[in-house]
Amino acid sequence: MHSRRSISTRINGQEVRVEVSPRRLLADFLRHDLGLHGTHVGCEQGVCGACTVLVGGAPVRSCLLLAAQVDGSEVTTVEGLHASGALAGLEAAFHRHHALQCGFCTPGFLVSLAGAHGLDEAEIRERLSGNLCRCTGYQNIIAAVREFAGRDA
Amino acid sequence: MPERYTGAALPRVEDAELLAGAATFVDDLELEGTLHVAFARSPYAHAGITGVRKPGELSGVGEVLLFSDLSGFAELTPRIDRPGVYSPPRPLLARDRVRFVGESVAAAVAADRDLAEDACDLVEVDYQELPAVASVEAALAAGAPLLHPTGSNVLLEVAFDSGGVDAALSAAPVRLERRLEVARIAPSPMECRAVVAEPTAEGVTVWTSTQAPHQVRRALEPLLGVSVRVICPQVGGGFGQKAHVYPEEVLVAWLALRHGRPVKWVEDRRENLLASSQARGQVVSVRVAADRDGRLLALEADVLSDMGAYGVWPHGHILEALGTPNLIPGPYRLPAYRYRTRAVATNKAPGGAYRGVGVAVSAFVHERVMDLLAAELGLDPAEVRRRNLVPATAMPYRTVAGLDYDSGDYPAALEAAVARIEDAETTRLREAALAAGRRFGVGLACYVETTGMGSEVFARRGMVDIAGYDEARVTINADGSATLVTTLPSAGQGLATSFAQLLADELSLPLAAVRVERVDTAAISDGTGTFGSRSAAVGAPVILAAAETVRNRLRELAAAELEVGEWDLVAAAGRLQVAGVPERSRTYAQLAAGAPPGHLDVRERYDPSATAFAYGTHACAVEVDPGTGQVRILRYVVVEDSGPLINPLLAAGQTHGATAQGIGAALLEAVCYGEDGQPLTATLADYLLPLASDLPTYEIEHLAHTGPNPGGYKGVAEGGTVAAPAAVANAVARAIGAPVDRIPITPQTVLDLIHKPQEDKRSDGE
Repeated sequence: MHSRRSISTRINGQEVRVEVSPRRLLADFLRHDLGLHGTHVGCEQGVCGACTVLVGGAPVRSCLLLAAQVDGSEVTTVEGLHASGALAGLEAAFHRHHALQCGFCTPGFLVSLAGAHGLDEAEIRERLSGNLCRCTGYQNIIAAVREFAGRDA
Repeated sequence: MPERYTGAALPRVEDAELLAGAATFVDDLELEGTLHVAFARSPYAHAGITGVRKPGELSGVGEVLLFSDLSGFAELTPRIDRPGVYSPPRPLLARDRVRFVGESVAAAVAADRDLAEDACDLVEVDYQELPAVASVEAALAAGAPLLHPTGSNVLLEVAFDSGGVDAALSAAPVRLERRLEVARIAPSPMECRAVVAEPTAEGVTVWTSTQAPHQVRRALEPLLGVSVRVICPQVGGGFGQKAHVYPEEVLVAWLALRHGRPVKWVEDRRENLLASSQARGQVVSVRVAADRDGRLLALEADVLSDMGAYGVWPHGHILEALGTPNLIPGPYRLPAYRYRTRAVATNKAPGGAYRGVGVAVSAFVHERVMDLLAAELGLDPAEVRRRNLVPATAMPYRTVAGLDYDSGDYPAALEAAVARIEDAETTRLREAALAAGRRFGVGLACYVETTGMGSEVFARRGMVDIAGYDEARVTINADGSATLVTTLPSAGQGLATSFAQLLADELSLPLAAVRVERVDTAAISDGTGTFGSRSAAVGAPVILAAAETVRNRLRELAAAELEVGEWDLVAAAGRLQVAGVPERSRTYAQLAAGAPPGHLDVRERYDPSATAFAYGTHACAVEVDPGTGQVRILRYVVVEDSGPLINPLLAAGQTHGATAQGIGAALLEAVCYGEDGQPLTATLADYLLPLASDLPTYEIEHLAHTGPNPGGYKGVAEGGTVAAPAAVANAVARAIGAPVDRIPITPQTVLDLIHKPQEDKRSDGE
């Protein structure tokens, strides 16, 4: 239980070589070992999507992965996407359309939507159905996504 | 700069840091030397504890605490001052008995959360399992196991009789009886509860994810015996669950004092679904009498509320038990009314507040009654409502239950909703659904709800530890900008924007020159918090009052300095100038520099003497797949009156979110327990929250009759949870031609209703 495992990974473009406890969740590693608090933990059950990060460019639930499992992988969090400007258009659309209220689920939505384009409303609703939001009823999130990544965007 | 910020649909000032992932929620606080807490929780719904053994020394573990280790305090029991009410003591850690799965038995403090959980796993508890009661019916049965030493599991019973009910029920030409049931709901904010406490020279500072920081202080100070400062960081949703103070908040603060170090506890989702407050869980049996035209003559209601094992601090166990019968008359004229309401203890998580407290279930009752009357008489459901609604000419209107509806035009809301839903688009949807072999129905729900209650209302209910008033503090800073702090935290409502809009207008400042601080009990003396639709109904009046005081002081100062009368001054963008002579002026910064210390730092308190009643009508169209039982909402119309809107963009957001939650309650959400009291919905894969793919687009229309408080604002955030369950249930009932008496309406419920013969053939049917 106390043996540690050394991992080497790129997080938001930076090389990270550390020792982690084998049971350290990726979400907790990002948040509490690296101080990347933008990744939020809503359920630790793999359902709510608030902890979504990109591993190798694909969205994953960081509450269902161990930090040790990203050894050798490239991890991108909301902070990385924000800093690179990759989310600027989506962030602006979320702001204009009031697509966030408490904002706890928001980073997970943004990460899940990174790179989305050419979607119609049904596709947007489907794409969003892996992320839970309890505040907005999704309507303004859909409006924001339609503007940024809709079929006509 | 618009002419007025108030009323403008402005995007929020607080969005940027949330979008960047840079906002600070409680779990984002990483104080040096923090210890972490975990709780060992009961796996049994009901058991005696005959022995507990702590684990031996564990590396990294500070200590493991049991009930016997608590010194000087042991309980967090809500004080309910009401004759004949027993408020069950809530031990902070179980003493010799556990009463629900998830009740804390021990707490472990360790260097990290994993180690604290390891220590909890090693606590050995000797449980002697007792028979559990997992429903109100089981709790009321003769010989039922008792949770508390009260002789009965009924911990509140209140009766009311206006007179005239029996005569009407025996003589009326139209009579119906129904048993209506609403499942338990888990409020489910996306951020679970979380607490960090740090010892200070004066006492302890507590950061907690709460809707009511001043109430947290009010609960903690007498128990801990030290000065407590409560700071409310970013709050990831509350919906009523965070309006309460919980044992974990007391224990974490106490542990910080005991260890002389910061201590953190962050609830996980399983703990949230097991042990944080739940709501609803009510059974209402009604008998209704009406005349041949469908006008109500009398109603009798027997309300049973599943309060769980304990009450919640400070609301107690009586919230929905008292709230529901009060509003069962709804927006209708009801000449005679009798009710009995009981709060019944069961071996479940404590029942507490959830958006639309009491009113959501009363709306389900009065709206099913309206549709059942329509079916009985072969009338259009809208017409039955038309004949019963309180007309605008009768305002203000005192109900048979003694509530004073203050304002509005209830029939206008109905007509607007009906006009919107009964159009060519709905006809097209109906034809398409029927052609595809699906059933189709339109449902209506009218409602009226209490918003922004004052101290007198809480005192009358016996909730003596709820302040009922709120405060605002406005400061003019050296640079001429203004800072506002209130006792009303935001849990997503956008108060840093809407409150700033109000204050900017009142002080003639640009919006960017007004800053709304997060709530900190060190910055403002006392108040209630953001629940029961208080932020507009109570927050706006107190902000207006504080702004007026500060404005008057600015004018006095400017008049003296410019040697003119105050009536000669006009305000413009952070300055006061002599009318017609703009070069003779003083900026707020200049006035602040010359003001006596504290003179431009103003605090006001507001305690509403009248409740603001918001109201409206929801209408929806659904299609039902008779093969799968799946319900799909095709259209959703909301017409509501929340008074004038401070920010229509944010108000619409509240309506969307509340309506989505109401649809969740109608179709998906139910906290389930087995007959042994074991929870069956301890993950979000089992407790189903609505997804984007489950929900419709909302069409919203606002009416704006001013309410009784200064500014005329009424609450806006609860109508959706109140009306949507009834609107959806009525639409499904009409679609399948069978009465819907229970929510949520799962696909299995739909199939049962379609395929099983109904005892009562007088069903809804379109």
